[in-house]
Amino acid sequence: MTSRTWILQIAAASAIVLCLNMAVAYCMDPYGVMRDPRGRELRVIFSGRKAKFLLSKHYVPANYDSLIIGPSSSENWDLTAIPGFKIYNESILGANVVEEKSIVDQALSVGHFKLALCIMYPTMTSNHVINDGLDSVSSAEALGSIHLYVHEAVQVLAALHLPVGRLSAPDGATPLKQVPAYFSLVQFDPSYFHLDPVAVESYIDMLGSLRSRGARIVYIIPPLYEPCRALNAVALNDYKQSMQRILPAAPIIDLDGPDFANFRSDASNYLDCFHLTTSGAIKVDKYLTQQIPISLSN
Amino acid sequence: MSFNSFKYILLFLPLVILLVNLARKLPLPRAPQLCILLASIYFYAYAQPAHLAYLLGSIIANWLIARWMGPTEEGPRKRIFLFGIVLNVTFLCLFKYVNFFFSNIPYLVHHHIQLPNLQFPLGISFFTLAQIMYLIECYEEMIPPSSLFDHATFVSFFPYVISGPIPRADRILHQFPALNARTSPSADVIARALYLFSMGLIKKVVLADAFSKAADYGFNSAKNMSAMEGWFFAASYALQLYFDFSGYSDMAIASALMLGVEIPRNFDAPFQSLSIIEFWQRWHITLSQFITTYLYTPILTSFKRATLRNASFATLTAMAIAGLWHGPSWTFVIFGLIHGVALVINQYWKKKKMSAVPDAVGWVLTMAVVAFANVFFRSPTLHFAVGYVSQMFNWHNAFGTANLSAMNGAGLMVGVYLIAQVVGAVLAVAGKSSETLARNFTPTALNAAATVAFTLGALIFLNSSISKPFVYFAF
Repeated sequence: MTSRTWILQIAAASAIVLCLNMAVAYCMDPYGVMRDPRGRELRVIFSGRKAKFLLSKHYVPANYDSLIIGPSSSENWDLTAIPGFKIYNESILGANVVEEKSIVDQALSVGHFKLALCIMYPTMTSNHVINDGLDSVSSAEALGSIHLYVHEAVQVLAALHLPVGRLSAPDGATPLKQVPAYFSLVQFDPSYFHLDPVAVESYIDMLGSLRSRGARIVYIIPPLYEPCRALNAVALNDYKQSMQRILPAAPIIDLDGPDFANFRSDASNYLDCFHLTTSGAIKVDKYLTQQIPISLSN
Repeated sequence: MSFNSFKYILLFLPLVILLVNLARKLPLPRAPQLCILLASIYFYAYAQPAHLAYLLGSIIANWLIARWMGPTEEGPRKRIFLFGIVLNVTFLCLFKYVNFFFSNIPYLVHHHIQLPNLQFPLGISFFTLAQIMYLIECYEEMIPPSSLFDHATFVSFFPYVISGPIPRADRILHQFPALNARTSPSADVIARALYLFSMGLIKKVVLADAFSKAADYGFNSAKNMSAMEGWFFAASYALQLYFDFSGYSDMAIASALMLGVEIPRNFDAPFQSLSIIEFWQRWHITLSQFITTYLYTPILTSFKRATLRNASFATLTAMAIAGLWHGPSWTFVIFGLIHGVALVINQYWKKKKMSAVPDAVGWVLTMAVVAFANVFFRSPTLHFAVGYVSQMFNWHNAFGTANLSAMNGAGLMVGVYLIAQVVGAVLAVAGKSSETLARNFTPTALNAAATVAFTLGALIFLNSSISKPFVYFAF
């Protein structure tokens, strides 16, 4: 073989592989960025951060009119039963508000929203570091990337009725891995409650953007397992009061309050101090499904 | 602009190759070289346009000094030459070392005297060394002073201006007539370059970044690791550095080849070295040659006799300077000194004709020195490095593996990183160097498949936004 033929061969082979890749990406389109996403049911399979970022470009605004914005403690909440709203759960593992804002901005760039359920919790505002996939994610990843191929492979396995692990619901709610509960009963480091100025500013900006797109805001304070909460009650209360002073006024549903104490004391609702078991999440879903319309009507 | 970016791979490099080849068809005599010079200036200015002034200033100053030195007599000539060397060293120190020196002089520390921390221009360590070598070559009349056009093209040539390989003027300047000739590089050369570029790309984007995952985890968990993990993560960092820098060098050599210029190789399978002397003959070869020729030899010849003791002093001094060249920190000096001590022992062993060490023992000792020294290279402070080293000899927790099982994170990427780490380690220890493979390149279907797989595989990793910047960009 001559070198010229060799060069032509690699050019042709690269072109063929790229064309095949594009064809598969277009046909499967797991993030809804290449074809019309209306009416489709797309799920988060792997790398929830990137997946929700990409899904928020077209799929979320095309199919949903409301958002849950929070960290992993609200990742398995499913509020689709609330009448009058189609709610997508944008919660991601380990999120701070700067990361959440980058996801929400995708959806806001094309969509209008009726309701935003914003989690108010210290980890959302304690830092503004963007990491693990959200630091440099781009739309081009929907054309060819490791997580795209994993999504495609899982779609194929699911079509063949083979086991595929934990998938999110089409509305973004993702079941958490049901592991034996482990409670680390400690007083959190003061940095846990630190109000990072950049994060707080992002939170305020995000709320402003949501409101300018027609969304009503409801803050939700998630329920912390009572023995953990008791150890950190003072700092938590200070945090809540500070946030209420800083953030624009809006209804608050406080799952950290006395009404919800029985739930918080029941260890069977928790995987750890923050994350809910599936049964715990269902109870929260029911409670919020009743409370949110009441909060909005006040 | 980084070599491992879509802008470089899919836009900048193909466009420059196209323009240079078009320029070859023009009746203008040196149009291809002009194209390369303009492309190099754009490439350099892309990240920090303000720093272009430093590069251009350094080029003009060194060109003037070489011209000035040219026709004068020996006495003034030597003074001009020494002035040029001092000027270059001062230029480098001004950006990299002044505050380091100040912070180590008790009187100045006491009075808090510091210059503003200047952000050092990209590639300053590399293009300053290249120009010091140029002045030496001119002074020793190995080459005549070149025109400003040639000198600027030589120094700013984009494949090596930021991170080497450090070129010698005589090896580059004589290629310019061929570069400006009407014939483009042959298909053989282009095929070899594509093959080498694909290997460099996969080394950087997949292998180096996989080892970086482990090394970063290890260095972030230094307080809680076992002795075995300490050595493992130090070795991971050594492999990260190797794949990162050799991958970069491969891409630099390949980029230059596509334009019809051959630049020197920088790595030759260093992790197969059986002694530390051999390691430095295979690791960052262009820097090693600079150290040997322009630091070690002058220091040694400054003594009346070349005794083993004098050679040891020259080695330690040269290696300490070479360590410091990497950055203004005692950690880099200690890194250089560790290698210096190992080299002295190796020299002593050879000179005294002591019994030969079995290959396996020699290899293990060499790798242990490399990994150990790299702890200082990677550590942000001397205090951190000492803490890390104490963990490497923590016999109370010698064989713990908790960090090893967590180093690659969670989920599917664990498998991807693990495969890359195993393949990388095997290639580093038992495989041929990519430069050797490229030199012996023959166009076969297997090579074609490998090139396509390496390139597309690396592009997928790049597009997954998990790639990291080159380590040597920091120097």
